[in-house]
Amino acid sequence: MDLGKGQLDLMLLAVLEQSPAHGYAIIAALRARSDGGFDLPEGTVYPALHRLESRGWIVSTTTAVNGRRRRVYGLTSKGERALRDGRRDWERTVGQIRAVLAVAP
Amino acid sequence: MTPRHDDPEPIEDYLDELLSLLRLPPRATRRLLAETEDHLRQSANGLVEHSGSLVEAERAAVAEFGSPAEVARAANGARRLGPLGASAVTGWSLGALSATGLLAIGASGLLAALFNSLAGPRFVGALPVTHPASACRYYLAIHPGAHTCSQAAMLETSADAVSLRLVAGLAGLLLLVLIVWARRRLPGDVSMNRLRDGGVSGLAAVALAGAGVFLAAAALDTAVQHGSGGVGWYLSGAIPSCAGAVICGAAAWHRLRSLRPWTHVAST
Repeated sequence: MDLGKGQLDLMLLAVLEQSPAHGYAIIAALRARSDGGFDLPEGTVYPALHRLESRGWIVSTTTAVNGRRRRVYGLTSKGERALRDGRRDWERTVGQIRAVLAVAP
Repeated sequence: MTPRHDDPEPIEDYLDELLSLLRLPPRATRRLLAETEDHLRQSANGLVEHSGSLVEAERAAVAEFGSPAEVARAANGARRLGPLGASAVTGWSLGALSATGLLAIGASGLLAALFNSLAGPRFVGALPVTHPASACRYYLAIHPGAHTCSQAAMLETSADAVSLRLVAGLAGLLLLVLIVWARRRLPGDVSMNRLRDGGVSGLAAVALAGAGVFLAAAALDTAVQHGSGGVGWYLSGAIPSCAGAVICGAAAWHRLRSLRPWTHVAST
């Protein structure tokens, strides 16, 4: 399934809502939660994470794991608000599409 | 075991290719490459049992990551400004250019005041123009001490060259304060900001140099054809314009030089 930027951003925020995570874990969670449906090129997720960070929706910190620096991303309060608004807009859009697609009796 | 030079290293090859395609500031480039390498090695470690060898596992990890062109396109595109950001940068740039021009006009007003006090109002105000009768009546009314229309017009022009230009300079100062305040709120990373500031400085340098050359030529033409009367009117504009062009040109060079675009060409 093709994803727009806004949809990918929303799903990344939703994954980070549960707990902070590094890129590899975020992609794994995205794949697991979509049951493999959103099998996008993994590398495109990192630019999306950087974009969200520049907007102040997520924040990253580095931690050392087995001698390597690893960047862990977490949701900010601004990101929580963006997720809440994004969910509401998404539900409204899905409801409208569902109403249009419904088979007439 | 130390790998031979010709041993396949899919992850290293991938990182080299990705690096060659990225158009990001140094820190953002290093960060993306570090995260990419970390991801690929972690992914390859998880796949090695299934793939049979580390090289095959690396190949599989690289394949799942997406092509370097695809990742670079997403990364370079994430850096682009949206419509709102682009509008803000354009508005700021126009404001900065306007502030520079107004400040140069204000400086010309100060210089005109200096010329008035050193050389008298004739050097600035005696422009070789004819005045209609209505204008003459106005000039003579506000300069009752003047004996002729030309004398009254000269006094008025020399005074206006100071007061009106200083008002423009004051407006430029206010705009400059606004521009400095807004600069911190503009979107963009370090190298984009340097490009923006360098571009605005370069445009200002070209505009001021053009104005300086034009005004200097007008001053010379006036001096040759009509003597010293009115030369100061043009000269007071030419000097700050040329000085401003040099300052803005130096600022543009300083900012754009630090981007060193030629290093990207040399490294490919």
